[in-house]
Amino acid sequence: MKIQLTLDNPKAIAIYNLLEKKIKSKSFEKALFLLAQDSSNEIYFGYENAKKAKAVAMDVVITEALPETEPQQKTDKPDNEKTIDSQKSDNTDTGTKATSGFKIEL
Amino acid sequence: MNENVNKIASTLTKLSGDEILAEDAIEFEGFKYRVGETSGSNIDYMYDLKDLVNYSHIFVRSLIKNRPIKKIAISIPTEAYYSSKLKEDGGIIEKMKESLKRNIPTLEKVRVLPQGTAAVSHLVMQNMINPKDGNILVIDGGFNTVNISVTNEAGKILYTNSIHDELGVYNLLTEYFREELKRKHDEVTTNAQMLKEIFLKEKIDLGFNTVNIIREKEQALATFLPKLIERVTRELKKKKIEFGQFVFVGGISYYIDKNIISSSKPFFIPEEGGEFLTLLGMKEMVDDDYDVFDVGFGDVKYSFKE
Repeated sequence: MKIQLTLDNPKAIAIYNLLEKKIKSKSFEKALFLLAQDSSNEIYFGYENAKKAKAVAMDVVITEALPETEPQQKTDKPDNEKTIDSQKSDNTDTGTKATSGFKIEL
Repeated sequence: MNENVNKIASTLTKLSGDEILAEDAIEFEGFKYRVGETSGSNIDYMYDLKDLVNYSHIFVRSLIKNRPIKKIAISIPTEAYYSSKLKEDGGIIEKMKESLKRNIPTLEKVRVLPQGTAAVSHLVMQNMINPKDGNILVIDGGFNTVNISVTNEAGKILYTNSIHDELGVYNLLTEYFREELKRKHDEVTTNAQMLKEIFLKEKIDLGFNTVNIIREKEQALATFLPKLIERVTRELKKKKIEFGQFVFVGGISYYIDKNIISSSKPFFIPEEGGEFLTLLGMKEMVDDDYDVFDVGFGDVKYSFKE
């Protein structure tokens, strides 16, 4: 089961604190690896996601248990994950002006 | 990037000796100043809102040289702007107008505009973000001020906050990044400009050797950004403000690679020119006959009238 951690989800902060603790005693890459593999966290963090997560307490896709097969697949971006690229194409594909009705309150 | 935008360091050099006779020296309260110098002696940075109000006119006067200037737009931190709106005496907005008009007698009109939210206005106008994706969280990270605001899809300001001297670029470089460098290297400069160069070039020159510092950079960001994000989200939670998308603008955007952020919410981080977005937004908010100045604690960004 996937859990989507969002910016306003305190669990994201907890994961980062955990990562930070590991960094203190290990090399960064090793810490990421350990976190990715550490089943005592009751989460499967995933190496790629851990790498992404190293800098910001933002959305991280995690799984609740170690996956039985193909862990790398679990680290793929979810379909609904939007990045700047997808966002840009959203804006251009629709052909709609985002500006309509928007005016900064001064 | 718009070619009509420029910047200089927000430094004031108090001149002495023959230098006070220099053509570009600006007089204020008995002293002569030069702006924008990053090396030498007697250099001061502006530090707080009081400095912004007192010294912004020196930058304006120096940059316009002897041209009789009539209309200018100038920025102040977001929170100072919107809290001024609530004050009977007009707060910092009125103080800034008064200071500029007193020191630049040709001025007829002064528009004071909010940093950060002006940048969002520009991004929306350029279709870089779509207000329909939900409330827009703006993290405008400057040299030592981080302006945070949330704007709804109509442009109404739902929340503003400015964090001073805690989570800006200066703090990232001189506290977090320097701390990481010190783990391996005995002597590390405290000069923010030199640290910035090391950070962006990802290597440090140690005489006969050049050492790669990518790991130190990553670790500094790994410590700094969660603190910034945690601070932002904690405040928003307290106020029960939600957002559907977010943008990083200002100088901090140079330090954040979009690839390290994974979010289900749309977000925008400019690849270049992030520090000019407030200026560009300000230009769109005023008529073409205004000279525009975005006065930050690290740099003064400016654009002269068309």
